[in-house]
Amino acid sequence: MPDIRSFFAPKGGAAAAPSKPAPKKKEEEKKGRGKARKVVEDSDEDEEVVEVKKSTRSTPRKKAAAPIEAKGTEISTSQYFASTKAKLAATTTSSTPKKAAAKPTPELPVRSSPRSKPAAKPAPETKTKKPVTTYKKHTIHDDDAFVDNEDEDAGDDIFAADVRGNKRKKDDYEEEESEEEPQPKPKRIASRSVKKVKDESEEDDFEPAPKKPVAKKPAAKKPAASAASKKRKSPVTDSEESEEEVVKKKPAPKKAAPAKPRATKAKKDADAEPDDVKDILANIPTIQAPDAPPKDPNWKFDFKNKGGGGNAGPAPLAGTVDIPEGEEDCLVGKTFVFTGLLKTISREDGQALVKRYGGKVTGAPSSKTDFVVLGDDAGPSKLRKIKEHNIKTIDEEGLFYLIKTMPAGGGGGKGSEAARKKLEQEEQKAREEAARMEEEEKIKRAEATRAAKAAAAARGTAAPAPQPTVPLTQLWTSKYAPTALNQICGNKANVERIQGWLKNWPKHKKYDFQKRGADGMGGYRAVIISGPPGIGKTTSAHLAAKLEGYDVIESNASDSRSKKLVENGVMEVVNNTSLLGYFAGDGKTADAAKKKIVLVMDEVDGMSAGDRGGVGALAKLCKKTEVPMILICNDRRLPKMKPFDHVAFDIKFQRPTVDQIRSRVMTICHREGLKMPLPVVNALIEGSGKDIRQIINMLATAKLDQTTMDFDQTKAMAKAWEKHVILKPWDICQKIIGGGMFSSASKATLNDKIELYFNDHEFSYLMVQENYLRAKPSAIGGVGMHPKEQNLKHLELVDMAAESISDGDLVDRMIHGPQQHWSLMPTHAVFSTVKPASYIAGQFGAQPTFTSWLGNNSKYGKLSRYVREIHSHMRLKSSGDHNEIRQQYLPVLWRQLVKKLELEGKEAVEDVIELMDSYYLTREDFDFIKELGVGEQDEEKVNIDTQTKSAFTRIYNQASHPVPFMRATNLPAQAKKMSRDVPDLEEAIEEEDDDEAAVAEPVDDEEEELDLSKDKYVKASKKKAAPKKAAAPKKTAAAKKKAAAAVVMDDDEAEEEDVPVRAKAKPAAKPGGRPKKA
Amino acid sequence: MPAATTKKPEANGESSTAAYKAQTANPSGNPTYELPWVEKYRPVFLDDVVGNTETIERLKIIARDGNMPHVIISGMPGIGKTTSVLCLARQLLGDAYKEAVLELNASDERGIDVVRQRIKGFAQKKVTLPQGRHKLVILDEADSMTSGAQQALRRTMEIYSNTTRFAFACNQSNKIIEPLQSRCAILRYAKLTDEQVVKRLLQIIDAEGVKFSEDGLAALVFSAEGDMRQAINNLQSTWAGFGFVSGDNVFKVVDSPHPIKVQAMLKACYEGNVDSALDTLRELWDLGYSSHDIISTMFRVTKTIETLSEHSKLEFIKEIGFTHMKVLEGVQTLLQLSGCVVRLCRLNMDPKRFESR
Repeated sequence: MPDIRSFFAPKGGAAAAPSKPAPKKKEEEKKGRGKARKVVEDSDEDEEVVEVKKSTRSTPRKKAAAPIEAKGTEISTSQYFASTKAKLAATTTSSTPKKAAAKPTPELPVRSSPRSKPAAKPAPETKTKKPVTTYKKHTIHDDDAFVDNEDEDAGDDIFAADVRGNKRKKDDYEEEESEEEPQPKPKRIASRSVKKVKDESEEDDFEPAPKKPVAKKPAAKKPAASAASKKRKSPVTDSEESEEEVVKKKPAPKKAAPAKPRATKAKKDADAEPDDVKDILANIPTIQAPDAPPKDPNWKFDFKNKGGGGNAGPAPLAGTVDIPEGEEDCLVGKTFVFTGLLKTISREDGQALVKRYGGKVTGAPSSKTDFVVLGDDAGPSKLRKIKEHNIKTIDEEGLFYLIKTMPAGGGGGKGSEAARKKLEQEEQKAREEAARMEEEEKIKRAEATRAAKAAAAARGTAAPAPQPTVPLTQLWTSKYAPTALNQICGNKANVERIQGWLKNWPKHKKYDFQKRGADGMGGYRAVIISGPPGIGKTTSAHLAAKLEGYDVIESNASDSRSKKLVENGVMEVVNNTSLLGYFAGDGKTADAAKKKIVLVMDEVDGMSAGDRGGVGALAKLCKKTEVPMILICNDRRLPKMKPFDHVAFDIKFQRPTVDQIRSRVMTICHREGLKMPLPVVNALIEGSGKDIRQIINMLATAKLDQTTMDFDQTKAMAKAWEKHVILKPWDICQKIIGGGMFSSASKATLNDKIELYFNDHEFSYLMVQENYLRAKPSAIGGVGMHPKEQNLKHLELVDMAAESISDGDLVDRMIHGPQQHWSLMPTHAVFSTVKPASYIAGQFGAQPTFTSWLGNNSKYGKLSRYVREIHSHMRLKSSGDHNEIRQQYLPVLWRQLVKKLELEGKEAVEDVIELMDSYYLTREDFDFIKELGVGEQDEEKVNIDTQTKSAFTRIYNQASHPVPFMRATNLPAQAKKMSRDVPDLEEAIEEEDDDEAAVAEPVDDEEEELDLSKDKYVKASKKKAAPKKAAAPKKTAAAKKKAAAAVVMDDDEAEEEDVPVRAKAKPAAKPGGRPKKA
Repeated sequence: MPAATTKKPEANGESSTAAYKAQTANPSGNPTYELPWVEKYRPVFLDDVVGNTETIERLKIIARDGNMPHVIISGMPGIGKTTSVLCLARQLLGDAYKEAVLELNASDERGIDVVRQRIKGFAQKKVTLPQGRHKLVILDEADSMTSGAQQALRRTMEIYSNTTRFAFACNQSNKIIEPLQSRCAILRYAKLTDEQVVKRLLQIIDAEGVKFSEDGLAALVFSAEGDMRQAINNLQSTWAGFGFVSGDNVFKVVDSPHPIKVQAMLKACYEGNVDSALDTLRELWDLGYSSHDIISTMFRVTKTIETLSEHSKLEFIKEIGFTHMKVLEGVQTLLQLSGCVVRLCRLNMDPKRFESR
C-alpha cells in the first residue's frame, strides 16, 4: 500500500520520493494521461494540508513506512491508483472482516464503505484524521505484504517526485474510504448521485476514487465492477445493468458498490480506459460462486478424502469446446486463479491459455486477483476467500469470452498499463545489463591487448595485432557464465556462504576447525554442494573461489579417482601452493596473494566403476585436508554419498525461481538480438524445468534460424527438449494411478501407458500391485451416490484390478519361468500394469510405498527352506511331503514343543528334547518351528522365558542327538559336533570330512531311499535311533576315524579317483565294512 | 495408401543430388562391386537428407556458420540420425574431417576408461581448424553407453567446449543421463512420412533402373513404417530376388501378416461380425503365416487401432494375450486362433444371447 505511506511521508518527502519514480515516468509516456495528472497534482496541493496534519500525527509511522516504501513499486500512475484502490479495498475488506468478526457477513460493510464515502462526503479532505488513523492500523500489515510482493520493481529512485502528488491524492481517497468504513452504509442511490455531482465538481480529487473501485480485487466481486481498472470506463448504463445482475446474485451492498465507482470513473477516466474494454469487462458472463460451507472451527478440509489437489485433473468434457483465439497480450495485467474442476478444459490448459495472453496465474485467490475461474468442487477455503475479497468469478465461458473480446495489449486499462510498464522496466533492465556486459567485455579486451603489448614489449618484439574477437567459437553457456555474484540466478545465499567459508578458512584452520562459528561452517574443512543439473553448482563453486582469490584445482568424473589415485594424487595437491603466487604470464605481474588453492571435486556421485574406494578415500581426505575442498554432486541422498555425511558441510542448491532466471534470460536475449516477449520467456523457463543451462542452449539453438519466438514455438520447443529421464518406480506408479492418464481427456495413448511399464519393467508392476488399493478410483463416480453404493463400486473395481494383476502373474510365469517367453512382455505390461490401473486410476494422494513383494518373497523363500529342512529331518518318521508337514505336523509339533515349553517351563525341557530326538529335529528346527507359526501360533505371541530357553539350550547341547543323515551342506557343522562328542579324534577327520562333502551328496540322493540300511549315516543315527543316541555318534566317529586313517594311507590320487566308488563302498563298508578297509 | 501412390514433386526444394551423383559417380568405382544400396545412397550432404526439414535446416545453418552446440539426436531407427550427424561433420570440417572427428559407436569400446583416455585425449588434441569450427566427437548409439562413461563426459564437454563439440545419436534419449541432456541441444527426429520415403525410393529406383509397379512401391512404404533404411533394403532385396518390384513380391520378401487385413479382422470382431472375421483369419492362415505371427500382429494392431475405445482395447488385449500364451505353449492350430477371434466377437455381444434357454 504505497498510498498510505506516501500519505504519511509526503512532507518528509525524502523517503517517499524515491519510491514513486517509476509510475511517474510511465505516466509521462502515456498519452492522454497528462490531463488527469495535472488535475491530480492540483488536488494534491489541496490535500497536502490534510496530509500534513496526518503526518504530524503519525510521525512514528512515517519512519516505519518510509523504508518499506523505498522499495517502491513500479506501476503506472493509473495502475497505481487502481492498485491502491484495490489494495485499499482489499485491505478494508480483508482487514475489516478480520477485525469485525471474520464471519459470513463481513463483506457487506466493507464494500459499502468505499462507495458510500464519496456520496457521504463531498469534501474528502476535511474528513480524515480519525478515520485515517484507524485506517492505518488496519492496513499496515496488508500494505507491507503488498509491497513485498512488488519488491522486484523497486529501485527506480530517479523518477521520484512527481508521482508523489498522485499518491497523496490516493491517500486522501483512502482516507475517505477509511472513514466510511466505520460509518453505516448510506443508501447507494443517494451516494451515486452525489458522486456524479462530485465528479463534475471535483474531478481532480475524484479521479483516484473511481479507480479505487476499479481496482482489480474489489472489482472482481461484481461482474460490472469486476475486472481491472479498464472496466470503469464503461458507461453508467452498463454498470447499472451489471448491477442488476449482481443484485440477483449477490446481496445488495455488493452490487451497489461496484456500480457507483464505475459510473463516476467512467466519466473521468475516459482517457484511461477505452469504452470497449469496459463493455467487455462488464459483459463477461459471470457465475456465482457457491456459498462456502459454514465455517466450523473444528471442521477441517479432509485432504485425504478429497485427494489433495485432485481437481487439477483433466476436464471431463475436454475437447468439446473450441478454444478461442485472442489478440496478443490481451490479458496483460490480469491475475487469474483457477479452482475446482473445469468442465471443458483442463486446468493446465486453462492456465496455459491465460499465460499465453499475458495474464498471470496465481494459486490462491487474494485481494490482487482479478478473476477466479471457478469449476466444480472448489475448495471451501477458496470459496470463502472469493467471497471475502469479492472477486469476480467466471467459468471457462467467461474466460473464452474475455480472450475473444479483449483488445490487444490488454486494452490500455490500468492493470495492463501497469503490467506493461513492469515489462518495459524489465526489458530496460535487461538492456542495461546487456550494456554493462558489453562494457565489461570491452574492458577485458582492452586489458588483454594491453597485457599482450606489455608482454611483447618485454620480449622486445612488436606487439601482435590485437586479435579480433571471435564471437562464434564459444558456447553460449560459457559465454554467459556468470562472472559476478549478482549474475548468479538463485542460490545467492548459498554462494555467499561458500564465499564466506572460503574467506574464513585460514582462520578456521588456525583453530583446527574446533570453532564452528555462527553458521556452523567453521567446523568443516570441506563443503558438499548438491542439486539438480543446470542450476550452476560448478559455476558457483568456481566463482566463489575466484572471488576469494583461490586458484581452483578441479577433478571431475573424467579423471580416474580410485582409492589409490585419490590418496596419492589428491593428497599431493593438498600440500601444494599455487604457482600463480610467484609467476605470471606475459606482462602480468605475479599476485603474491594468489597462493591459495581450493580443490573442487566435481561429480562426486559420478565416481563409479574404476573408482573403487574413491568415495571412502575422499571422505577420509575431507577430514584432514590442508586446503579447502568443495565437493559437488547431484543427488546427496544416494547411499554411496553417505561417507560424506559428517565430514563435509551440506549445501543444497535449489532450482531458482522463474523470476530469478528471467532477467538473466532477457539480458541474453537482448544481447543476442533475440526478441522474446515476457510470457514466452516465462514459458521457456517453466518448460525447461528451470535448468538455466538448457534454457541458454535452447536460446542458442533458436537463434540459429529465427530472431523471435512466440508462445507456441516456445512450448513446442520446451516439449521437444523435455529431458527424458527414466522414471523411478515410484514415479511410474504415481503417474499411472494418480496421473489422470485414464481420464477421457487424457491424450496418453495405450502405447504411452505401456511405455511407462517399460520404464522399469521389473518394478513397475510390483509397485502397482502394492499401491492399487490405496487409490481412490475416479471410475466410482460417486456424485450423489450412497456411500454404500460407492463402496460396492469400489470393491468391484478393485476386484477387476486384482483379477488382472493375477492374470499378469500367469504371464509373468511364462516370462520368468523355464521357457523365457520374452515376447510376452507387452502382454505382461497390459495385464499387470495398464489394465489394473485402468480400473483404479483416480486420486492418489500419498507417496506410493515401495513394493513389499521383494521382502515378502525372500521371507517366503526362507520359510519354505525351513519347511524343507524340517521335512528332510522328519522324513524317516513321517510320510508326508513338505506341504503336509507344514499343514499337518507343524501345528501339532508346535503345541508339543513350543507351547509346552512356554507353559511348563524347565520341567518340560526333557520331554521336549525327547520328542525332538524322536523326529530327528535339531535345536535349529525348534526355532524354525517357532518362526513358522501362524495365526494363533504366531511367533510374536510366544513368550518363553529366558531361563527356560537357556536351560533348554544347555541341556540340549549336553547330550548328543540322533541325525537322520548328513547333508553335504551341513558337514562342517556336523564335523564340529562330532569333534565335540569325541574329543579324541585326530586331524585326519577333518580331511575325511572334506572328502565326504563330495561323497555324501550322491549318498543322500541315491541311496537313502533305496537302501537306507546301508547308509552309514542313516545307520548310525536312525536305525539305532532312540536307544543308541549316545552310542551312535561314537560309532560313527570311530568308523570315520578308521576310514580316515585308511584314506590317509592310500594316496590322495586314488582317493579322488575312487570317489564315486567309495561313495557307494563306504556306506556299505562302514557298518560292516571295517574289515574291508583294513 | 494414397500417400504412397501419389508421386509428389519435390516438396521442399531439396535437391536430389545424391542420387544423380551416385549415378555419375558409379563408373569411377568398380561396376561389379556391389554395395548395399543403403550405403551406396547414404546422403553425403545435409541437402540430401530426407525428412525432419526443420531440424535439418537448423543443422544446415550450423554447418554454414560453425559454432555447433552439443547435440543429442534421438529417434527411431532408420530416419537419418547418424547420416545427418556425419553429413554435418563433413560439411563443417571438410578436409579436416579425418583429424578433427572422433567417431565412436557401440562397436567400439567406450567404457569409462575410453572416455577418460581416448575421448579426453582427443579433446585436448590441437587441430588447426578454421574459425568457428571445432573438433567433433560423434558418439553413435549413445544410449548403450554406461552411465559411468556418460558421467565422465560431463565436465569434459564443458572444459573443452572451446575446442571440441559432441554429438550423440541415440534411439531412446532417456538412456542419456540428465546432466548430459542439460548440456545439449536435443533434436528429436520424427518418423519419415510416406511421401518422404517415396521420394527417396524413386530417386534410387531411377538411379538403379529398377522396374516397379505402383502397388509395389506402396507395399514397400507400408512395410517400412517410416524406416528409410528398411524401405531401401527391401527394395534392393525385392529387386535382386524377383527383378520386379510389385506388391506381391514385396510381401514375399517382407513376410508378415498384413496389418490392414488384421485390422479389418479386428474391426469385424468389434462389430460382432463373426463370419467375416473368421474368413479373414482363414485367408491369413492360408497365406501360410504362423499362428505366432498372426497373434502378435493382432496384439500390435489392437494397441494402435483408432476406432476402439481404450476399454475395448484392453479387453481385446486380454483375450489376445491369453491366446498368445497358449500359442507359445505349443497349441498353434487354426482352431486356437479361431477360438480367439470368436471370443473377441463375443465380447461385444449381448451376454444374454449366450444364455441357454
